[in-house]
Amino acid sequence: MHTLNSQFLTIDTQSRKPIYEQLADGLKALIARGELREGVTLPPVRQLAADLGVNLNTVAVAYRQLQTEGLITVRHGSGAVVSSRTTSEQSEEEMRKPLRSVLTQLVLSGLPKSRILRMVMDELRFLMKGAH
Amino acid sequence: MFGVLVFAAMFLFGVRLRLLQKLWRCPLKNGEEWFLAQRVPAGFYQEAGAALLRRYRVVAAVPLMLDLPLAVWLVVTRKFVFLNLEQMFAMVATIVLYNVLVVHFSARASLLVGDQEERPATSVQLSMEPRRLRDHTNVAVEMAIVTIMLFAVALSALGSLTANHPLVAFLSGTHGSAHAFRQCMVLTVWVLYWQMGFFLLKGVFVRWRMPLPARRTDEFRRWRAAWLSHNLKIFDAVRVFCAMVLLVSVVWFIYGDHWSRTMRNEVILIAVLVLGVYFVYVKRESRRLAAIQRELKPHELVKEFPRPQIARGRFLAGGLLFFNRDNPGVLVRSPGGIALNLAHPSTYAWAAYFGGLIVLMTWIAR
Repeated sequence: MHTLNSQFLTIDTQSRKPIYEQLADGLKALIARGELREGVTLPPVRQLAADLGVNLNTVAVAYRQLQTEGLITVRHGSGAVVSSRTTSEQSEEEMRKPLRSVLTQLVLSGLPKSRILRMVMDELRFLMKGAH
Repeated sequence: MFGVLVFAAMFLFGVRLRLLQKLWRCPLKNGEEWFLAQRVPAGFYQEAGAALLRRYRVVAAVPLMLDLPLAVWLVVTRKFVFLNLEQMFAMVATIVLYNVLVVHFSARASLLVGDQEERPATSVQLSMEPRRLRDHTNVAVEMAIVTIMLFAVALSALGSLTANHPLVAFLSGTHGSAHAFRQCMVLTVWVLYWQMGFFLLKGVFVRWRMPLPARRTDEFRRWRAAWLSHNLKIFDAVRVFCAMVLLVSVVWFIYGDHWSRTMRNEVILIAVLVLGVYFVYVKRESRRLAAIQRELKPHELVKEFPRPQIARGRFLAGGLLFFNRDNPGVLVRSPGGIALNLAHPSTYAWAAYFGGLIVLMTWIAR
């Protein structure tokens, strides 16, 4: 899983979660926290892929996902640029889906409601630190 | 003039001997528990490590062993221009080979140690900062280099328009001045080509693969910043030095014939002083980096990185070459050490550069 530290994100090469997903989630979190502001240029695909020692496609897929969600714009020649902190139009129901899935896991793991709420609030505070 | 050429060739050969000496000691630099950047178990150098160390040292000595007979022959036959060109080329080839050698033998030591190594790290940090050459370019230095080069070219052109102008002599077939003019032009092209090579090299260093360890990240970043800054400063110093060499040589070629012996000695003294300043600067920068290395012990940070996997793709030439367009690495981990990725754009760029260097040397030699 990814953790955040300024403009860095941590990738676990042994995790069951695919690297492109870790990368996309990490980048989203950096954008949400305001660490990567609108207009900031992201490293080229080749740079990230070389750093990770993975194929170019792995990073390209992550960038494509962020582009589809409207978080970055890929300009030919100047690379990927952070475009906005809000994702493209999604219905509330669509946005609830991943939240529900994570909450289900937490409930199934037997955690009390108060602890789950505390975890959610902690994560939210962490993510909103750089929000305007 | 021949004296200067012999001195330059001897200087280059001396630098290469020094490089070999450093490389010779490199595997054991951090003690017997290390082979280059790989931690090795006790008794490693009494077993498989002994053969690895011997092989490493033999390969390190190969460039000198190969070109020594050629250099001696060039001295005996008094082909001093050839000698300089050969030494310059050998210097570049040696630096490239030595860098590859260190990476390759580190990888081989890692393969030998295998499972005896403690559990490797699995996490890596990524910096979201693009690594661009323009962010590491010192505008003042670039302006100085361009100014010196332009000044040298302008002097060369001016020399061709004065009373004893080499250009007119060149066109009218007067041998001496035409020779001076040709020397200026050849040297300008030669220095420009080297400037281009160093620019390419700076780009390589700036874009060098840089994952950050999940632990001790700040230490690694500090070391990496110091290492990069050191190398870029040295490259810039060499580039300024090359530009100065061009300027002094152009002045010498065009106006040297009219100088008195005292004037010549003064120019040589200035050149020696410039060389001295250059060496003091390089020494000072090396000491700064050495102090940081002693403090941070970068070789101990290596174990904080996940163990590199053998690249997936087509290996050629017994695992020395590799082909995969999707792999972003120029040098990739192979079953026997490292391999050069032929599908990487940098491989073509450097092959073109070295090909061009050989063509240029042939042209100069003719």
